[in-house]
Amino acid sequence: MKRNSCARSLAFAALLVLPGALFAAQEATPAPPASQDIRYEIRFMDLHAAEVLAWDQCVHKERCRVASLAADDSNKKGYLEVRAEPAVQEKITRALAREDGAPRTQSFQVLLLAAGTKGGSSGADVPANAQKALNDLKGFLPFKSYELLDAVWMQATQDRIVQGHIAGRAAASYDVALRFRNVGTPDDRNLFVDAFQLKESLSPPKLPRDLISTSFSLKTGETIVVGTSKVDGTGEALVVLLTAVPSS
Amino acid sequence: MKGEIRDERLRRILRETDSTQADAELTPEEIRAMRRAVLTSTPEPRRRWLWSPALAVVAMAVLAAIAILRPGMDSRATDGVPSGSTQKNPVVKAPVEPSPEGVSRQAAVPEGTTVGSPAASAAGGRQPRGKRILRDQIAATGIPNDEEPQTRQVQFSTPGGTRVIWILTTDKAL
Repeated sequence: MKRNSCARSLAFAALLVLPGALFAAQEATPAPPASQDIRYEIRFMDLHAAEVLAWDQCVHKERCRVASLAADDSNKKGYLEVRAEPAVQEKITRALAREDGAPRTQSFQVLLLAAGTKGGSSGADVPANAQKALNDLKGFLPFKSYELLDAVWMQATQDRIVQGHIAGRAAASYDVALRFRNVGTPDDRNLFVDAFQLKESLSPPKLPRDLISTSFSLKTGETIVVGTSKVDGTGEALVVLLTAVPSS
Repeated sequence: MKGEIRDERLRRILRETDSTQADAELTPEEIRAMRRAVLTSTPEPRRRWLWSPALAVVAMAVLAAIAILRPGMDSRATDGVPSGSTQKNPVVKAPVEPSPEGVSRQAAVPEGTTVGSPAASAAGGRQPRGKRILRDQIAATGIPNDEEPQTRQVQFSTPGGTRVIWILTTDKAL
């Protein structure tokens, strides 16, 4: 009887002590470090890509806030406002220093071909990397000959116009100009060529004549075909095979 | 005091002489029947303008359809422009088929070619699908025969996946 009462008192005492012990354990758990707000200046990266990069550094997404602000200044793309823990801020700083430290450069191979309705060259002298695009074109357009007129290699820096000179038939010559910017994350290497122009150079005082003026997206390693011809279907066509050459 | 007694008397006399006092109350069934009779005998309000919203919607839809389909009809109509008409350059003679034997070349155009414009999806006829889409796309450009060079851009992908951007121009010097 005595033993029973003793056991009951012990159980009662344990029940009384248990909530206190749990509360003490909760208090002992360290609180998450206070978040801090930092505004990063983005100079070269696409703002959306910078935003994604910042989010990627944040392990606990619910504790992070990321917002981007476009800048009117042409020297920078904008700002990234981040609220996160100091450890995350450090990761973001390091990632931005790595990815936004210098403007992206990209090599472009530009091949100019003359497509004609009469038989002739089949474009065998076109470099191997652009042969697939040319073969696709042959299967689709009814031109019979594709003669490589000239090729030029252009090293472009993002957001800056790069120009090249291409020789044509006889005394004809052409100027090609393009400007690209990086879109997407640094890993997927997507480009957007926001200005691509092909002009025929004419002897002064005549001004160069616009032949092609367009914009398009392009992946590194991809070859895109940009061509022009008369709407009535007579004469020749000028075909540009533009390849964004992957860096080795 | 006297007035109160008189009022009470009057009340009692009125109650006693009330002829409806002995009548039984209407049953719920009777009440409902009476209500039904009253409601059904009331003429319905004229719903002259009930159809007006629906008519307005239909009219808008018809107008929108006319507005959307009209340019397409115009461009298709160029196929049938007689040689003596004022249109000297029917735009369906596209640069992608410059060969004189264009009819035989049409069959060479592969199937499944996609064209980047929604206008290309509205095709019909007996030609191979890829060619037909391209022809309609080019026809829809509707380039006028002016002195100033006019350009139109067509974007499509070949069956092999190569993307093509083609600039059509009226420039004679090309």
